[in-house]
Amino acid sequence: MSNFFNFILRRFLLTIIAVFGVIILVFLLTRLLPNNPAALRAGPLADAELIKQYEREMGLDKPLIVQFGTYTGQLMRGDLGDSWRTSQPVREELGIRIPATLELALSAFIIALFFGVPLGIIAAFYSDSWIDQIVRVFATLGASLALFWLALVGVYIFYYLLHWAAAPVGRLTIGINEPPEITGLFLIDSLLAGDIETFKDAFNHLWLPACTLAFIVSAPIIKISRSSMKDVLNADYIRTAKAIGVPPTKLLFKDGLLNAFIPILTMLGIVFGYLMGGNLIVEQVFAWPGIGQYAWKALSTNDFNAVQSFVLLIAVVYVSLNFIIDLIYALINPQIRLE
Amino acid sequence: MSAPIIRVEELTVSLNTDDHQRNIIDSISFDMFPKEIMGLVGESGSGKTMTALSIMQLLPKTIKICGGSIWYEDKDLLKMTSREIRTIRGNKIAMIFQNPRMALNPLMRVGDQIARAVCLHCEVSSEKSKSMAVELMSQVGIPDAESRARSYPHQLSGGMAQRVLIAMMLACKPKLLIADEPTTGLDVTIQAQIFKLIKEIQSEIGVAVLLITHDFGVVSEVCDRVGVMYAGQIMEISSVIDVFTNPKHPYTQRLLKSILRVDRKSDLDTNKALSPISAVFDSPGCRFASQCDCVRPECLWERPKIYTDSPGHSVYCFNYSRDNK
Amino acid sequence: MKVRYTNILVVMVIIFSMIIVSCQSAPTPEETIPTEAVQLTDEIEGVVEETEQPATSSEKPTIIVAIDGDIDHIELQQFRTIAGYDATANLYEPLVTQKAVQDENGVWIGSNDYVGAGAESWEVSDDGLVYTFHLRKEAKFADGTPVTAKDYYITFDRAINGNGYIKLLLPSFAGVESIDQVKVIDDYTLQITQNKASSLSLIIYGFQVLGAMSEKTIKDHATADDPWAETWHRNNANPSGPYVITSWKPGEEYVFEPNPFYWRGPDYYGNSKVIYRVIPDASTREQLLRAGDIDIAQGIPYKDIADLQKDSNLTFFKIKTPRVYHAGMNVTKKPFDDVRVRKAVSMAVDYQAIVDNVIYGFGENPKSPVGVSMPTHTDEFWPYEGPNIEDAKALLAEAGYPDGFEVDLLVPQEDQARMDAATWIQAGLATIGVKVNINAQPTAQFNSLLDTHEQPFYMFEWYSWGNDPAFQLHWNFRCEAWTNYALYCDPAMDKIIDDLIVTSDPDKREELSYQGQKMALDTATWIYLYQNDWVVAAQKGVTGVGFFNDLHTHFSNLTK
Ligand SMILES: Nc1ncnc2c1ncn2[C@@H]1O[C@H](COP(=O)(O)OP(=O)(O)OP(=O)(O)O)[C@@H](O)[C@H]1O
Ligand SMILES: [Mg+2]
Repeated sequence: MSNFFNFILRRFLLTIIAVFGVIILVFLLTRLLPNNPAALRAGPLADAELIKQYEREMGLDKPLIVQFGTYTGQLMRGDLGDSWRTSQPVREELGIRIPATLELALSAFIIALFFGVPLGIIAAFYSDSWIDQIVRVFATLGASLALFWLALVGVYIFYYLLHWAAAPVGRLTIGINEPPEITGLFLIDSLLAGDIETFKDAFNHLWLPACTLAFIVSAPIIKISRSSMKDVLNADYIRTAKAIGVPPTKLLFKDGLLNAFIPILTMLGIVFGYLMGGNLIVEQVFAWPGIGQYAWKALSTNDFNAVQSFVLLIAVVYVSLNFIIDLIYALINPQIRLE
Repeated sequence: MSAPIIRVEELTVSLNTDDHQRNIIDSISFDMFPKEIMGLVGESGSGKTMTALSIMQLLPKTIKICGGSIWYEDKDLLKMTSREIRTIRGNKIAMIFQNPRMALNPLMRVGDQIARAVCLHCEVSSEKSKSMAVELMSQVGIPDAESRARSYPHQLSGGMAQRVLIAMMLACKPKLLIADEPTTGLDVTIQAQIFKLIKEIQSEIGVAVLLITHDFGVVSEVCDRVGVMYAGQIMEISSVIDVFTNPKHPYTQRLLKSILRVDRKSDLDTNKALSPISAVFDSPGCRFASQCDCVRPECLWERPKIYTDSPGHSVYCFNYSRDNK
Repeated sequence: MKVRYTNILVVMVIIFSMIIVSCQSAPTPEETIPTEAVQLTDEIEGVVEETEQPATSSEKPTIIVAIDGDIDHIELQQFRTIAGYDATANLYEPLVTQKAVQDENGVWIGSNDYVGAGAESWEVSDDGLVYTFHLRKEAKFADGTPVTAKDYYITFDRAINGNGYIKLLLPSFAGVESIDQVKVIDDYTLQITQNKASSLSLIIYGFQVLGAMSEKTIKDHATADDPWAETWHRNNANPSGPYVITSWKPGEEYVFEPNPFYWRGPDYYGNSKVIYRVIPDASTREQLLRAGDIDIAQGIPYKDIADLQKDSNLTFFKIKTPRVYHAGMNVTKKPFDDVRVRKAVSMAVDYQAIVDNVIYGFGENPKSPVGVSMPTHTDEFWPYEGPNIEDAKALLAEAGYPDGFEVDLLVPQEDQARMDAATWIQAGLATIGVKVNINAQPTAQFNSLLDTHEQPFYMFEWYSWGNDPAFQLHWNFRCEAWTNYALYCDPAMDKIIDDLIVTSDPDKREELSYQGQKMALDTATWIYLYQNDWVVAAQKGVTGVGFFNDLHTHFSNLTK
């Protein structure tokens, strides 16, 4: 077991180093951009003096290394700086939007997971049968349909024509109050508060964007599940299991899934990271108040601190996901755990 | 002689590709008797593994059995449902493979894998199955079985892994054990140990063994009888002594001439006299005909009838069946 | 994984226009500047009629408005977005305000007359320097405390000494440089002594950025680092104006409800609530509108309007705004340093095609830097009549470019309209041998490049907060103006602008404005492209949509 802890420790240190690397990279990248944030903050009516004043205020006249020290010092205190676009602390702004993105990402992820993985496995098990063909068409559609188009058609059909989905105005109907914040996820918070009406309303708003995203991201999940399951099913140990008479369901889920899970897990990590980045298109169409829109606005206005923090956030999400995946991987695979 | 436990009758197995169908096993028949060790030799691609997998009903998806029957006791395995087959597999007929380390699930402790085999066929508690697994492991000569049972496959050597597989297959005392080149990739001393183990087991629990190999040396040491295959057809079946002292089929004769060396595989494969096996699969007659020094015209379009030289020694060759008539 | 950003452009346009607009300023002219005491009625004419019917019904409607941009924040003197403008305009009460009139379509527009708001009446000294405002005694903040001269004083103090940009307007246009020029005479009298007379003073004092902020609230929330309580005011307000903000969810929703202490009383309101909902995607807004889930949608693309108009449940308000889109030519850079080149280029463009194809006929060619709906606008000096290749070529040859030349045109790539217009310019100029390379850049990059003042050829637009040619000319044609990206500089033009600011006689102002417009056209500094209408789509029955120079809509008029 000490091997295992060694492994975790090593991975953890690597993760920390990666985060630090990202911080340096983000810092340098944003400093290397040609735009002067002081000038941007001062606006088009500003004169050179105001820009100078802002430069002093923002510490931009100091050497890079000093700026970096200040920056990391602020980060340590959890201070991400202020957005110049809104003059609000970036941390608060992201804090408001993360739950919206998280709820959408989690829902889409869970849907994609519970559809994608079994579909991929079934397709692998019945490979080249009609089931496989259908699943493959499904995955190809998911991979090739334009998300924007899909979202719009979804809104048109399920909201405008059928009224199955609530109006795409964000997370709740206009006039319905947010449930008291516990997790920030409305579905959970409304249940905790025992507020069924709000739960229903939140659900009506959530399912369509979540399914739209899930449809798109289930494509790679299906593909990877199918191909890794196919590989596993051809493996010698599966033949051995068959040779001792293990029934097919056990074979598929015990021997098969666990072994196929490692590549699937990696893909799941990528998908979740992608979803957590906030999907701009879906957020636009469904007026979803998530971090994708925020990042986009920040980017198009050169909102320095906001962009920097967003990139950092996403990088940290990815790095931590990788760490978690490594942990799960080690838990599953004794070879990693014990060597 | 007692009744055979396995009787393969005119088994034909075909591979369907996009453009045509090819019989990779062409109407073969043989019997196996309780407690005997029968060797199956033939060069690479001759269909030994496919024969074994047909018995196990574990053929790859692309390959289908299209004729014949395989009688186990008085049931035709080919007519069984997959559920029925599962009660036979591992229980009555077991199989071990080449590359033993790959044949074990890398994510399961080997003890658990054996215990699972025990559970599947013998009605015992999971506790019991675990102690039985350890017992089986020491039975197949694994030292310190108690702690070895907690190992994962990657922690075992190839020989150890093959022992684990054998233990797994012996879990419920099968009637027939198929061993498909069980020592490929293992070094020579380990090979000898494994064959020794197989022999011991065979005599201890009285299981019949179908031993697939390239190696006549192994055959001479381990087997009671031997079948010689070429390109999906059986050429000759006889006792080991007969094969070495009185080979009938020209192919067998040729094989024996070129072997008796341990690194047989490369020998067979590079034998100048033999053209690639795949080229002869579509022949309607004897598939060895094009290579044969004593070829007769009918060899090219007609399957030779069986010729029984002496009890238990059969040859498929017109050189004998015609004379015989 | 590959993400398809097919329609990101739509998004970009929205954001882009938001940013551009938010960065610009300028006020309004006025035909008649009150030089003597003006006694004002308490009510704005139109509002009285407007409020009559809703006042009788106790249940006033809630109005849901889908907005395309977002409110950045509501710090009165620092916000930068249109939505922020809308919001603050309904939260803070300036001293005076534009008199509202209804146009023929029932749209409320701000006229060039000013009436009292926070001030009941005011006097101006004969020399035009001293403005004395008599405040309304019944005016109160949303916390119930009275609005006094001290509150206006601190508002001016903040504006001049705080971090906001409004201080850039006060010296040039109102002659106020120091807070010492503002005096509290008594609780209800405020006196401003300008260091020059200005025809624009009331426009400036009427901007809601000078609306009353509570001294007490500012003091309560001030800190050592933040003496003006800017942080608190970014998402909180103690309004002196008609509405309070009751829900603040950035990027999502803002709810405005009547200020119970507002001096005009409950009858003033046509609704019980106005909800601003951020709906960034245009087609989503359209579907919500068709389905009846929102009352008003802003930012409907012109190309979709014809289709939406077939829906009999919808109604459209079309409002002229003096936003002038143009391609500027840097007069210090070759080849545009030669006026003949600039004229030749202007001759080669197909203006009608641009209006028809770029803004789908929703607008017109301004034919002057002073937009069509601005006082003193004239197209008298407009010399071009469709593309004139012959003359253009001749002029180019005369300037020494018989074979044309090659030039980069800087365009913000998120603005589809400008991108389209750029291709029309490209096509037009190709006919005279000028090769235009479209240099499409993301908005932020576009702005940075403009700020270098090195761009020879760029697509820009200008909208003045105040509806007066002085603002339009000042920001774009004055020698030292930062936003004068064409680097046009002529002391005569500066003189005209100065005179426009101080002159109050309408005839003289018109003459000055004409001179300015003529100079701008004679020097062909810009290629005038289009001036597009502001179109608001709403459910049938919705009334009270408005457009004022200093704000977009008076929420109180909205009803259904
Ligand atoms: N999975 C498969 N798909 C298609 N054809 C196969 C497959 N496996 C084997 N074959 C073909 O079936 C024929 C018989 O192969 P088989 O594996 O039984 O030979 P073998 O005698 O076991 O050879 P070796 O000594 O190499 O194991 C060969 O021609 C081979 O090419
Ligand atoms: Mg084989």
